[in-house]
Amino acid sequence: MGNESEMEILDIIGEIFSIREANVAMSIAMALFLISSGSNLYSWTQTEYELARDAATDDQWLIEFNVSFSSTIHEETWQDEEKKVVEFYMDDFELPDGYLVGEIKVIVKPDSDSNGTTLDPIAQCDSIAANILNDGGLTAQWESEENELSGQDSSCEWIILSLQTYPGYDGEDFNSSAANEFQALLPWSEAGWGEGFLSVEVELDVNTVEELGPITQDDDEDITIEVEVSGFIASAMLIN
Amino acid sequence: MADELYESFNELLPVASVVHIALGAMALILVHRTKDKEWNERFAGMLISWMMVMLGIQYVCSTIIDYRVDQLGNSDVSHFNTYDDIFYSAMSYGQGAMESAFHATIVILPLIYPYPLIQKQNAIRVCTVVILSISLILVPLDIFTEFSYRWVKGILMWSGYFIWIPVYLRFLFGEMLYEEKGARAISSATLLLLLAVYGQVYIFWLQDLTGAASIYFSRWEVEDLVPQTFLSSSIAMIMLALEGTTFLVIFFGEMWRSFRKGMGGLGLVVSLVFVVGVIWYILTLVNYDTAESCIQTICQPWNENFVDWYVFTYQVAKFLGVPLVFMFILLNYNMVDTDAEGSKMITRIMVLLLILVATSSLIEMIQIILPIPEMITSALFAAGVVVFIGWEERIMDQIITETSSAAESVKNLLGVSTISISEGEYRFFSMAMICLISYCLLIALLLDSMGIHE
Repeated sequence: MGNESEMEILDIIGEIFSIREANVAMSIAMALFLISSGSNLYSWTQTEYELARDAATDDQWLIEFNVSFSSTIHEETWQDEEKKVVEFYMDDFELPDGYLVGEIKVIVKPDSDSNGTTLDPIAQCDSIAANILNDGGLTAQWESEENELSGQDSSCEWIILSLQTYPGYDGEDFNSSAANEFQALLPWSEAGWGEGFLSVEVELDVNTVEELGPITQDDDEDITIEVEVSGFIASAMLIN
Repeated sequence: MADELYESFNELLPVASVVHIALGAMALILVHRTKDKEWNERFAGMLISWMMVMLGIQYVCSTIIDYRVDQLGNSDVSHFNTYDDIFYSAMSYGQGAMESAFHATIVILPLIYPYPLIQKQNAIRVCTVVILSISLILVPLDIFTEFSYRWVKGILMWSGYFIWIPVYLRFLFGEMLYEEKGARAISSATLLLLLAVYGQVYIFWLQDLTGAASIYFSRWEVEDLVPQTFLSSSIAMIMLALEGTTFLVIFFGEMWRSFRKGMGGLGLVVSLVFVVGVIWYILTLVNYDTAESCIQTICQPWNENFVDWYVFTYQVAKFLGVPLVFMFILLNYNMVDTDAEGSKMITRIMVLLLILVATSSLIEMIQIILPIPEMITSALFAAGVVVFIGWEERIMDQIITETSSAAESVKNLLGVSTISISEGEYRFFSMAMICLISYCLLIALLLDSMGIHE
């Protein structure tokens, strides 16, 4: 059949809407659609989209560390050529709630009198070697280049050793980019570091001048080991 | 979703690609052999067949992408080291291109079936030009914009909502109030088409209607490599309302009919979707914190059982439900001539393929979730095969012989223009579709090889 028999588009559409009751149902559905789409669109465009984009976009944050210290002192006498391992239990260090162990500083102090006194003015400084032992007892960053795990001295100076316990922690504030505060602080909220016990090995080698010393025969040394634990809690401040 | 965490996720993709391509190809053979049907029935059959082929090729690309994602970091078998490499690859472009072609094709279907809005002699030529024009523009544009206008592209899918829903209501009321003979054939065909095209999203109807589903869109804004633009995601909010509203229309329509005329198969299916939608809404509320974690804190992975539920509802509906419903429409609504020479055999293969593949896939998936020994599932599958072979004749007869023609009913009830379409025009359409698919794949390969996003 030719084009004469072809129906016009308006007639065709008119047939679809030819039942009044169906049109009423259609109108109700249309009203429901308008309400639902209006509501969906409003909450999406006004709040949800912005929140999602914010969450996906990195901001600059200043990461600040509030630091708290806890220390303990251990005094003991070492005999000549004696090597001892002293263990410090991390539970004995008291840090405020929520603080994480960032680093541990060990200070080995020889007896302050060992470099000559009025009684023994020519006494010599003893040779002391100190090591922080990685014997598996402490969770820490043993491979960090920031660590100072060994030291020795024979000039009556303090030996200062340090061990980084929390990954990347050096106590300095720094800038970081992250999508939100939670993500900015996420690297600074890992529990479990700095747990266990710290083993410090100290070896003494007494230097003495037997013939010239008037009073004392120097074959031992009082050594003080001070362990200082730095705890930190991080906070993030939005820069831009 | 980090799919390597979830065993069942995308498990059906390879099966879906094979099923869609095989069924699409067989349906095309059947449609081309069909001679004495209404032009719009035959053309709709061709559109559905080509859409199945397009979906199948799209799923092939998705399967390869999924495999590559699984192999990320394993340099022995994959040269894709990051997700970016996969996202900007030929497979990803191919997947997007086939999706665009599918959208361009589906926009036509509601215009011609079951009630043909286009009643012109040149209908097929016009439709072919429209599909090709949309695809030619949409395919490269979608790739250039890194798929960030997905929901703008999705507007093409809305033609079904705006045409099929009024058609469904017109013929439902015609049947219920005015007892129009044959009106049910049209309303049921329309309803099945709505379920075939939108069934997988209708299971989210309640969360779509209330807006709870927007939390997933917020999460995707954070998670996706290239997030959707403001325009695209805003259009998605309108789409959610459309999905929810149109589902309620068909649900109340079918319930009304069921109260008056008794519950039929379609009433049961729609009721099932209704219940699944309510469960999905509850589960969305339960998993709201996980969904919201991306926005509030950091993205938390989904609960594994939640992912299994997603697979068993959304992915089963999408990958197995869609071909099942389309095949049922083709066979039950007399769109193909199953009595033609050789057609019966192809139809039989189609039915068996669909049912057996669907059954075996589902059994396989159940095995992933429930710790059932393989011996038991193999036995169950064997039993299923025996039952289907035994009942195959009966299932076939039921589908083929108890048919109704929606086009015939439209003709009798409202009258349509008499249009004669030459055989050459159908062949021209199929050739155009082959060219379109070739264009999509070629452009994906070329744009990848030229490294447009590097």
